[in-house]
Amino acid sequence: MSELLSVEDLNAYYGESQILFDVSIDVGDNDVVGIFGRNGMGKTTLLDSIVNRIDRKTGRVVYDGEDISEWETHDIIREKIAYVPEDREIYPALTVRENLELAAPRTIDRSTREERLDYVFEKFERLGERESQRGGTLSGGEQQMLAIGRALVTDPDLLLLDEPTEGLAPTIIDDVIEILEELVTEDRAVLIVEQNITRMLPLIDRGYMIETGRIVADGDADYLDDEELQDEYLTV
Amino acid sequence: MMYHLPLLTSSEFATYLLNGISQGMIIFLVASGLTLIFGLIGLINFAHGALVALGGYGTLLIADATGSFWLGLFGAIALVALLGLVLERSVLHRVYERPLLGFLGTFGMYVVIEELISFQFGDQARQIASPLPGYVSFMGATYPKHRLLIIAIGFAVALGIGALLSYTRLGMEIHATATESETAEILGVDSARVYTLTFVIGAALAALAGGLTGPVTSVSPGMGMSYMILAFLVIIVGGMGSFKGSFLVSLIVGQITAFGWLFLQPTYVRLGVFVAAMVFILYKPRGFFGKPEVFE
Amino acid sequence: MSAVAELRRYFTETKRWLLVPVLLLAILPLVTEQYFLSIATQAIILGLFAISVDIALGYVGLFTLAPAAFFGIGAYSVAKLVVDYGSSYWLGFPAAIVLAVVIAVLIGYGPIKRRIGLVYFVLFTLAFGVLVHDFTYATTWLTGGSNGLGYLTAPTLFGIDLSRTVPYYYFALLAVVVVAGLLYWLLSSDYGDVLHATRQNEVRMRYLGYDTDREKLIAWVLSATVSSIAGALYVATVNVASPSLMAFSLTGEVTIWVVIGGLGTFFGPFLAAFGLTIFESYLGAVLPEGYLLILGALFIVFVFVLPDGLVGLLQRWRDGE
Repeated sequence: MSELLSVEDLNAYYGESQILFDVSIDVGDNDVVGIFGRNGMGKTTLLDSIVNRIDRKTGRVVYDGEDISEWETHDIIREKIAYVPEDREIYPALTVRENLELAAPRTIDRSTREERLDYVFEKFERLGERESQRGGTLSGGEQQMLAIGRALVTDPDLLLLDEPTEGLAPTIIDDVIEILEELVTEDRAVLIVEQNITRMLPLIDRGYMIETGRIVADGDADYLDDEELQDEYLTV
Repeated sequence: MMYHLPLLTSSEFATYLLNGISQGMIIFLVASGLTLIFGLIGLINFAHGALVALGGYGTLLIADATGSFWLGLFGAIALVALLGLVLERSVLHRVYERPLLGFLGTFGMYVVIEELISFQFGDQARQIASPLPGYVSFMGATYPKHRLLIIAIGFAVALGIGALLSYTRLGMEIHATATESETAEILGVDSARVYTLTFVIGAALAALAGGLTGPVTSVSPGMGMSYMILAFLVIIVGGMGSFKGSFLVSLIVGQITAFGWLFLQPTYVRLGVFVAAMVFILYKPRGFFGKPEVFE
Repeated sequence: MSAVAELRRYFTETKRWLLVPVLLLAILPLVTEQYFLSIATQAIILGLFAISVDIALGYVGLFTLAPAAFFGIGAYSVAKLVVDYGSSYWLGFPAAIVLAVVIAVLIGYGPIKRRIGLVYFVLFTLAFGVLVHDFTYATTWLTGGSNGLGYLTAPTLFGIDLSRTVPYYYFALLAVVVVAGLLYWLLSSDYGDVLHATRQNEVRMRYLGYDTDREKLIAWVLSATVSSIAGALYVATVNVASPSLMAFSLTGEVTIWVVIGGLGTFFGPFLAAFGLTIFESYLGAVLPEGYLLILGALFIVFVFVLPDGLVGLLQRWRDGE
């Protein structure tokens, strides 16, 4: 299997405290991979380390054959890696359209950009209706859609999703899952971090369990669909 | 100290009004570069006053050598922008996370640049010849054309920068970086580049202010500093980082200084403006137009 | 333990080494000429001024751009009483202290209580500093305007004519040693520890039950008062209280001394102020316009390369790095 992304022996730190210990994961082309674990186990730190948004780390992050571990965040993003952060990070004072335009790469021409915006507005009709509304006025679910939309305008080869269903009402979660189902069938690799494993298992090819900064189990969706395993690493 | 309120003739009124507008524009031109840098980076760029003076001297020297004021002005803007680039890339970008060092560092630059100018050209004020000498008649008053030029360019700069911030990709990136630079990075925005560009634009605006106002205020090593303090106050009252705010408040301060003369000695008008600024810092630190989410 | 190490311990741990510079300063009049001594008088007073600014800037992190205002308030207090009211020179000192305390409380209470950030504090004190300077310039009836208030000299005390260079030098040295000694004693006590801890983590200190606003306000008032005392001591060396004693350039200079000496190191700022003032007088003969230029360049180097200042440099050297 050709690996699009491999994280090798990653140790990550916030200030003095170490968050990740010798973490290694692989994501192949068009692979849909899940990272599961309880709160505070280092899931977000793993994604932050991949895009180099962290104080200090050791180990390697190899993407498409290149070691990107020392690259600056924006340079990593420009290699068609899109990051949807846990708390959405929508710009409240910018409109929906401006939020999307900001995320569109500088290198694409205007018509391509408009095409991609249209694609997002088609996928998320609610965003289309609120095109010129400010980001801060959107509901939680709409903000999540906008965050995903911002990732899609880059037409990413690798999509990093941090807890896409967190903090959303159950009906909204259904909407988001529906969108994710579509996304994972498309021609790209996806790395999803979640606590909510039951909703994610149908979407993923493979997954890892993480606890206190260490990978403790990995396997395909069938293997992870195991009550004992989930009880040990996920049930609160 | 108190004067009688004289009855103004319409020509006197027009003169005061125009004086206020042109004075406001000068303050705005100085404040605009400061507010851009301050709004985005949170850096109190003390070197700004020295860059204003450099713009004045650059214009003077190049205009003397070439005989063209405009060549002098644009040459000075280009050179000062280049200096801004060098300063930002060499040292300043390293201290954005440490406002105290940033402030001290730019303060040192201010001292060095101002002293270099004074070393080279002496402390006495020098005059730049205006490209538009002479006067025009306006509502029965005669008024220097160059001051009208300052007003026109001031408005043009306000509109230009306003459009840059509101309608261009760079403007959007500046807003995004100022609001939350880490988020901008994960959207592919090179925040370091945005900082650099903004600093260079700010430096260019400083040079513009120095060169353009040279013919009416004359140039001296300390010329920038005298405006800097007013400009800082304008930024506070207008709201930190609010471009619209500094424009409006510059105009208001210009009118206060122009018409204030009727009632009080100029120094007392200045003192009043300072007291007002101190009250603002205490009770309304975001000014009239400051955006809370941007400058916590 | 070698004799040298023994000696070093003897001095560093007991602070007895402090006697050495004081003794050196005390024998200075025996080995130098009058002109140099009058410069040295100003230099030790400006050293005290630098220490006072270090209390606000280095010890509590209150970045003030108003030190010259308080320095000037001290100088004008003495000059006003002596020149305009013909009253005693000595009355000038309590006046300088009282006036500085009152004004410092009035100016500092709001910003400190409201916890305005660093940037706002800088701009607030900048506005105040310029305000005081412009006010002094404008109110000719009160302050003599641009001419200032003069001419005054120090009086005779116990039969010693303090208006002469050597006696005034010793008087200033005594005053500086006493005031700086009291300050040093205070800052070495628990209060100094509280200030340092407050600057490093104010929130934690509040959780621990300290009224950090009060501690900062006290430090601010202390700083302003000592600046004012320095100004009061200084005015007799120039014989005139003029607006230049509260000009922004003096604030700039003292800030530079404090940073070059080392923020929060007490002796560093004194040393830098003393040394650079002497340096200025020597340079003045050779290159009169070069002082501020060199000072500015030196300052930039310290800010970007050696932010710990001279004392930090010495410490690193001592620790063998």
